Amino acid sequence: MRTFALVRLAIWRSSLEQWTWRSFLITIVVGQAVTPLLGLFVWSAALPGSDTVATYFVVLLAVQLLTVSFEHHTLSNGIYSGTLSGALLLPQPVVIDFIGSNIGFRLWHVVFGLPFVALAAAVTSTHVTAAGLRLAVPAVLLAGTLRFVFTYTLALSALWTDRAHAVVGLGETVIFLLGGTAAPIGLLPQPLRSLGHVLPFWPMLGLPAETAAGMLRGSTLAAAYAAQIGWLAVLIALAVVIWRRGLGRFTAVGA
Amino acid sequence: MVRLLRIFGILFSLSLRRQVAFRADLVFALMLTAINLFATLTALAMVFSRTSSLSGWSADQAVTLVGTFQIVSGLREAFVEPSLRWLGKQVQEGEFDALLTQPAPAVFLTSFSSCAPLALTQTVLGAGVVGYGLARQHGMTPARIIAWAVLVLCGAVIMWAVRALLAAVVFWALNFDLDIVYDGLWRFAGYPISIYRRPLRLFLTYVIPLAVVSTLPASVATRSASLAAVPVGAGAAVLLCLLTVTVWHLGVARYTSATS
Amino acid sequence: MMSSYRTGVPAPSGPATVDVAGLAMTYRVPVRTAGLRAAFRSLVHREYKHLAAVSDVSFQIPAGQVVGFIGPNGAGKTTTMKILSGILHPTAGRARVLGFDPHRRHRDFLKQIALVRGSSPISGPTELTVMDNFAYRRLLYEINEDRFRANVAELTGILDLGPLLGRQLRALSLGERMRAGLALALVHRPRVLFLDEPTIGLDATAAIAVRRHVADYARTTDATVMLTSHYMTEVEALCSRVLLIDRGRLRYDGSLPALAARLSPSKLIRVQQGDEAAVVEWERYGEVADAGPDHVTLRVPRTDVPRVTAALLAEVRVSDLTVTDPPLESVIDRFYRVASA
Repeated sequence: MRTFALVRLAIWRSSLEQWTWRSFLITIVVGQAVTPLLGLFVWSAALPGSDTVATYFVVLLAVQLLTVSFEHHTLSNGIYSGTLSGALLLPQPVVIDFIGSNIGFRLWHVVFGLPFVALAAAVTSTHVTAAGLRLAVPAVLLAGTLRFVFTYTLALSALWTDRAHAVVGLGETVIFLLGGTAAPIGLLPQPLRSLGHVLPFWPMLGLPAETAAGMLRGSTLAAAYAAQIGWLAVLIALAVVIWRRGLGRFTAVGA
Repeated sequence: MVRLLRIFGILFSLSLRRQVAFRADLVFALMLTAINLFATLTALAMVFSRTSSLSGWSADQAVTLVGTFQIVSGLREAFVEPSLRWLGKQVQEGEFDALLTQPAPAVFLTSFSSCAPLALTQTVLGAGVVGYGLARQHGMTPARIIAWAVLVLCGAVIMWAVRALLAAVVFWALNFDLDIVYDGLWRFAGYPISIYRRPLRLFLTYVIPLAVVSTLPASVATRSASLAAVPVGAGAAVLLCLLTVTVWHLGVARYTSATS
Repeated sequence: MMSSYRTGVPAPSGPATVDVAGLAMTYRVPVRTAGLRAAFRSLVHREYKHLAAVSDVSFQIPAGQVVGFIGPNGAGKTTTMKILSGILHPTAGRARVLGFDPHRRHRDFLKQIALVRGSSPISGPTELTVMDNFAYRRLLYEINEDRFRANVAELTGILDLGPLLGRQLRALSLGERMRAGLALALVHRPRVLFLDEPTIGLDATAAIAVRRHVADYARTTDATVMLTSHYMTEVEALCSRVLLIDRGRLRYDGSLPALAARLSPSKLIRVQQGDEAAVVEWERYGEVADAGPDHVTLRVPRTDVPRVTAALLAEVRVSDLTVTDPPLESVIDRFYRVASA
């Protein structure tokens, strides 16, 4: 299908372009690794005996690298600088280029971030089972898509305000608190724990991490997958609505 | 020296006047700072809901540390980051050349020619948090509070010195931009360094002494650490300053003999 | 090629403001050859190539002179300016500006110079106003309060900054930024002014204002001005002397008209026929450069111009006759292209 070919092409172009500034890219990867690592240190110190907590955070680091999203830099800045106008003239859906750059970023994050994950795993003697990893693959794919749609929608706020970076930053803060980075959802006190399971942020980050660490299985895992798919449908619908509205405003008002 | 302080003072007061001219910006900055602080404290509360001691630190002691970290972070975002950020790009676009023809030390002009006074909202809120944490301590003495303040000042100086040192890498390797690495490393100072493994702890104490930024002052204020920490922190600050100024001198000398 | 010597410029009296002797700037550039084996070899043994940006340049500039540095891109004129302003340290030779070695960047030296770059005339926080920047420069250059006020008033009047003083830098257009940047650079009355492509990107009005004020400033304060520019009209209007630097060497040092005359030994005579029907053998008078329905342009060697003009006026029914130099831009352009060939 033509769309797939376009997406593949976009990923190829983005990856090549990102490789040309790889030294800067490496510093970005380092920056992205910090928050999960801090979580690892803090919770290992808080619960000294617990092996699962250490495993969870090392896996969370990998998931973070696999689901990283920078649409506030690509899309929002594109809107501010006027490049979006150029993109609107091309015979392809605007979102394809951003899917390409997003996946390109994730690719390089895995390539450059793998040493960190390996190091952290070695130092904390993490255990992951092949079964857990296999079950986690669809979870990671769904989580990555969820996070992309979420960040993309927030980045679209650039069509209305010049503080889009702050909006996306707020989104990241919420993911930090309720997505499983500040604390594994299972360790949260009660009202927050249920809230976390219900909202779409845990499916973006903590859910796949828990799956890979073997903390989720059986019927709870099936329910988790269902939650991911459900939220994905909701967020995509929201994104489409906001895009149409924003585009109308953009073409009427101009950059 | 006095002249440099006056120049810095006028830049700060002018920027302050211009940036707070729009009340919406000030309100927004406050809101953003409050939200981020709330997130940090919430995350801390999540930890302390499961344990009463984080590597020997109690909840109140940890809160004092977070507040102290916020104070210095605010100083960093307000005075240091706006100028030193993207030094590589400034050098590439020739703006650094213009600074070299001005009658003040290059390291001073590059570090302080831009400031973002709105970021001081972080410092203000951080001070509030520290106040709360200290109020819940027993055995606070004026001496400890003064020691805390002095160490915070030393921490701020170390923060600038390390930042300027990392920025100076540009003079030897133009494409090397360590801004984001410092951002990441900086966040490690937001927690008591005793939670880190030994190699990292030693690194943060002796190589890049970010421990002086928050852990040391908070220890002195709340955990009855010895007041001898004050001269140690001050000594580290002075040494790092000397190192940074020397490295910048060498860097500028290298820049002026080999650019295209 | 040309050797350097002074033509048509009065000899300097007294100590020169700028004194350059045998200046050279050579870069060590790592050699990067393609191929994997070469890449590995370079890890162990770095090979360097020596690139001479400036070689053996010597000249002297007295106070009050406006000098233009011209030359093809990458020829070394910007490098020379950077050496004179202290931004670069030469690898050989000696440069003295106002008696100082610019590279040492002595504060007393820096307080007497100013550098304005046309591409970004003002740097610094963009939310500050023009007046804020004046206040900042006053402290930076330690200008006396009364003199400062007088200078600001004078510059505001001459460069028409009245409406701009209270505006933030980010709200100014390029032309306004250039005028403000020039004023900010002159408020401490520098004795040496470096201008790097000052009117690039400006519209005609702004460019003329900038040029006029630079000329006035040099004349009234006896300041030395050095400027690089690619606009020959600008160099022609402002500079009594040009230094042509090509491939790192000083090729010419003298007045611009004399350079043009030397580079282009012919003039153009444009003739408009009074009687269109008459057939004229133009080739008898000179080379036909351009012919239209009612006019002809002849290219004639300079020395022959009086004779040919007289002949044309006597032998042909002429309704209009103009003698011009070929456009300076094309003359210099041809020189650059020939030089790089």
